[in-house]
Amino acid sequence: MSRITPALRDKPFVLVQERQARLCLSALNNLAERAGLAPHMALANARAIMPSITVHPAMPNADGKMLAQLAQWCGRYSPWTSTGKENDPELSLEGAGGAGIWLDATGCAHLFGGEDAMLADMVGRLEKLGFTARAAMTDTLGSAWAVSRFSSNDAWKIVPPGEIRAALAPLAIAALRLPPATVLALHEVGLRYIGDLIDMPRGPLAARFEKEVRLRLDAALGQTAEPLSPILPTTPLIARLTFAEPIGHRDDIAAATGKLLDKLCITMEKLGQGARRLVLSVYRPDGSTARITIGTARANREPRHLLRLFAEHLDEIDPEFGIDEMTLFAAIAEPMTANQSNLQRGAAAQSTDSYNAVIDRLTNRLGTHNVRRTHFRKSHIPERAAGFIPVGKAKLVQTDQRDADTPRPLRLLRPPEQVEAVAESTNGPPVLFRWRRILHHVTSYEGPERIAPEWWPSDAESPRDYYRVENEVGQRFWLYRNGETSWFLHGVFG
Amino acid sequence: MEDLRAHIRALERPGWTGEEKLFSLGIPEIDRQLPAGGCPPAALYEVLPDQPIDASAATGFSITLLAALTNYRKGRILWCLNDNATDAGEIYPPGISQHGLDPSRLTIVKTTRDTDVLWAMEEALRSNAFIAVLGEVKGIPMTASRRLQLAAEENDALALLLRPATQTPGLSAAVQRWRVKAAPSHPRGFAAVLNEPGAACWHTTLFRSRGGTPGTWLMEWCDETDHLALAPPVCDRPVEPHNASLTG
Repeated sequence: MSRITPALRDKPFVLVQERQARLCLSALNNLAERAGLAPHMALANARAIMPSITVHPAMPNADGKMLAQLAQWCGRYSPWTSTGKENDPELSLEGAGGAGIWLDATGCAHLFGGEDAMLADMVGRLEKLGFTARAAMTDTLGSAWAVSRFSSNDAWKIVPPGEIRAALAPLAIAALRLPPATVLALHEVGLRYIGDLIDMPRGPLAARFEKEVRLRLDAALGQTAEPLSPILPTTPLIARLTFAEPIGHRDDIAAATGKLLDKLCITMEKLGQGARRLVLSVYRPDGSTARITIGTARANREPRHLLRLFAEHLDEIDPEFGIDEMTLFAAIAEPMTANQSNLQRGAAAQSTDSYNAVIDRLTNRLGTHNVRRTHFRKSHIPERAAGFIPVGKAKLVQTDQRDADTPRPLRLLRPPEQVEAVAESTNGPPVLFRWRRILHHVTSYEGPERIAPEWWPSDAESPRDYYRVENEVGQRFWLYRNGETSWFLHGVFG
Repeated sequence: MEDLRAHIRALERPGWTGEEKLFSLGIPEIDRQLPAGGCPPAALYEVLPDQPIDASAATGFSITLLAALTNYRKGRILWCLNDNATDAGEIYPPGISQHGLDPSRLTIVKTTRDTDVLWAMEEALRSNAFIAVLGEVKGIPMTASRRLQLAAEENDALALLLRPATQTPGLSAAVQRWRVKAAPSHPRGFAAVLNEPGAACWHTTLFRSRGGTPGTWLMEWCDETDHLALAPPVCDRPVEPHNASLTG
């Protein structure tokens, strides 16, 4: 809030929310906190302590959105960022800094010249955006949460590996991300600091209190795992580029993308990886972001090819007032063997390569579902028996059994179109029919070919009697009768 | 005269050695009328139906042309479907197979705009991954067709435009432009006795042929032998169709 109205920065200021028919404080700024106000306090009590506070209603939804946006912004530091919602769905945004963003910074800090420099950069940039941020870097999620919120007043703190225990011991028990009721229960028996709990035998602890206490404590100490995201590659495939002056011209963006691709492809080559999906993110000075994602049919680390795929989409990026940073991240990568020189490879392999390359370009412009291969299924129903499925899905292309006895049309209408038709008899072939307002006289026919519906769907229709008919000028159609009198045109022959 | 022609062609197409492999539709009468005695496999072709309802006949003829090409060389084929250009349904793999073209060669691109079709065709031609690229387009400006013709020549692939029926097809850089119209079939043997349709017949008009002479032929496609032939003169039916007032 104080980001939008700077005047509020220097005043005690609280957000309130209705709870059990009372207005309670849900968030407050530093000045209000120093005056002795606390979250969950009733507004009336707060007013009594400090009559001069400015009050605004809380907007949890807008806060949640803002946080998600900020988590995306943090993508400049690490590809794995999270608002923690996935891990703690019940965790509210209120209270002692419930709102936060988790970053898995494994292997990322060196891009910024060390962990200290990275956190300094992060807090500094957030401050420029109008946020007061606290950061901590530790070995586990739980301890990072605790240290960032309950530790000293430093804007950022780094706990070196192996020193979690010492760092956590002086912190209040609430730092374990426990529900208020549990915290209260622990207080009642005189346990106030994490240090009081650390050395207690786990058995009685679990028996006496909620299981959660033990879980949170062990997770914070790194004795049980608490994953942030399911996949944690040891070296994230990410490249990053910051600009001294914000860039905005399309050519500049394209050139920067090329540079990022060069960097990333070298990394991938070292690791023997190839990208299947790449995410290009741009960061604007005002904290907003934009991304483009491209996919490839096979693992690829050819900068020129990948740049062509991005080039199709670069126009989608609106630089607004400029872009000050770009990152490129291989969201999906697969092991890929080194390229053989072209001399030793057959023409067939080269043709496959160029086929994959052109399929990538087509799918990236036209959409994956619009580039297809033929596909046959075991079915008698014509519209089910054959069709097209997206190239990526066509693992196995069955060869068809060419059935010369039953003619099939060159073009199939999906769905079949109903026609008015006159038949010789209730079971006989059509004599004339009207399709798309043109009347056709049948001069010769072949049929009927009865195609029975599959029996297992509950809404099975009646059997179809197919006729191949020719009209007086030689055009050929595939008609079927469904039931007694309804006729459908299902396809046309060459 | 021949030397002069060869010289001009060498100027037109750098890298042309004078020995060009050609493929044939399998009808000597047509080959005789073509400039080099056959169809060049690296060129732009155009097929138009005579009436909107002949779209399927035009599709059939296009597939026959592609099948003739695959008899000459193996490879992949790209087919750009465009609902807005041919309002006659989606191509159906079993039917294509019965027309002599292996549907597993096909890669399909579904679009709704001519510009996307032309872009996809050019990308595909320049990729060297396809031996032929077919696009269903409504209309095509002269420059765009010239681009396709050049891309086809340079990359040694065939480009084929399948267009909707129009009385004013406009200018085009295509080496061959065909107009196709369905014709009544001539059933023989049992089919005649049972009054079943015979082999598909098409009135085909080669209305532009670069360096050759235009012509009109009545062709018959026999799906039992995968064979295209000139329809034999018959006595039991008029060869000329009734004027197609009913086909609107």
